[in-house]
Amino acid sequence: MQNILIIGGGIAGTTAAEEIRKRDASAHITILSEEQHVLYSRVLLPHYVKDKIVRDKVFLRTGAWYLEKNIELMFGVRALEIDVKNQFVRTSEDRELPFDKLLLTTGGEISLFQDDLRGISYLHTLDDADHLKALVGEVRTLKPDERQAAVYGGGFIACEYANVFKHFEIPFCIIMRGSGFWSRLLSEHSQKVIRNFLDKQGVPLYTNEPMPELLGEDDLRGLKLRSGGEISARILGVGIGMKTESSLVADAGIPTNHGILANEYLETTIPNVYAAGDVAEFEDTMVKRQVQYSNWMNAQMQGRVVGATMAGERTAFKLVSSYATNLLGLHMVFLGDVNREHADEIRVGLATDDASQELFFRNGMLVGAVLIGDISPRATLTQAIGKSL
Amino acid sequence: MKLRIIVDPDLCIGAASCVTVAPESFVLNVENKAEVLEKGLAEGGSSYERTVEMTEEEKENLIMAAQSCPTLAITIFDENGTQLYPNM
Repeated sequence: MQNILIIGGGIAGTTAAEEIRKRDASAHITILSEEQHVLYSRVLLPHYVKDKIVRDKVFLRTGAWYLEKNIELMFGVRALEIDVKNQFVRTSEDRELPFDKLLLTTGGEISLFQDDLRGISYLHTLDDADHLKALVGEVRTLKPDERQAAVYGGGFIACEYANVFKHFEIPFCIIMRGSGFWSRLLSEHSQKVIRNFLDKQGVPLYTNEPMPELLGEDDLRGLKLRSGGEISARILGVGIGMKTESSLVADAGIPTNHGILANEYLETTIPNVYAAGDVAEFEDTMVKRQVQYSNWMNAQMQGRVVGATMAGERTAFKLVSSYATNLLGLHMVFLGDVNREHADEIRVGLATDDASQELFFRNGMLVGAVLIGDISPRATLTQAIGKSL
Repeated sequence: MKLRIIVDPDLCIGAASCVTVAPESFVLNVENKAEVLEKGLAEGGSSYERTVEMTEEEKENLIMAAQSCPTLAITIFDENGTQLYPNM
């Protein structure tokens, strides 16, 4: 009987555990999770905050499911040390858990705002969503002219905050360090499309702004912009990215860059140690480069593949990564590898006032695409990226 | 067997995992929402709901597609009206 240890109880780790169990009835499978919950869908958190679903519906597994599958879930436990030579992990409970195979699905830690006051919100965990829901509830009890919020960040989480505030009719502005949404990823035209859209929606946008100073004693009352001027805000939704670097992994001697380095089988260079999900910086054979994606589908599909590999069915991971979002109704889709630095050529497929399409080529082959406003070519382009590679 | 497949467009966010797992059963529309197909076709026009004849193997893949949805927007019923997914 082999000991399988999984650090991280999110979708990648849980899916991997399930796939291993399908193939190996006797393996002892343990998942270490820092969170206090069974598996839930992070993607559903905005739906939950907006009252589209009840809280119970965010959970994707029940306690009974883990029992039935004979998968041990250790809640609220942190891995403190990994010893790859003697094959054990020391936990925050000071236990040493031996493993024959170790899977790292630790995800990432969100970057925090420099200061803290009540009213600062993040949107990473279910606990964060509970907190935001409470804050929104409080703001809605204020007089209409006091109901104000702000978003700091220019990425996917910033979009979610904008949608939440709009849903509850709380006036808000968006502040960001960069020159526009996804400033390192998008062309100027794409950013302009988003800016025009926000303009039409009447959402003030402040770009090239370092973290503003927080105003208020214990509770947030407003923000002082570094460029001058003050903004009233009772909630500040912060979405400024995620870090996947971890000293736990680096100290163990497992090779890392931004994430944990792995091949297309999601094997690290250390025997019997694997990585999957947001934390894995893997050899993507679809785009022929070491990449790291942070999205649900990628994490889930990697969990599926790495589970098969760990159970003895060595399987390469192949997927045209995709991420879709919408900002107050403006649809956006990112397909494949959209890193500008690694593209030989970026062609403009479409550039109108309210839509943009960028196509990323490397060695003459289509490796990625960004669609804003008009996402109808999504399926065709996904297929084209899959085929040309 | 015949299975009833329903997508809730209000929950669907266009993550496209269902389309990746079961392209014969799902396709994204211009609203970036998943619609249901029968054997890759949208007979009688696009729809968020369809009853489809399936083999055991096709059913397994369909359930896997529904399980892959991060917003649980896909519901599947068997011929007797029993909900097969979500099953909790």
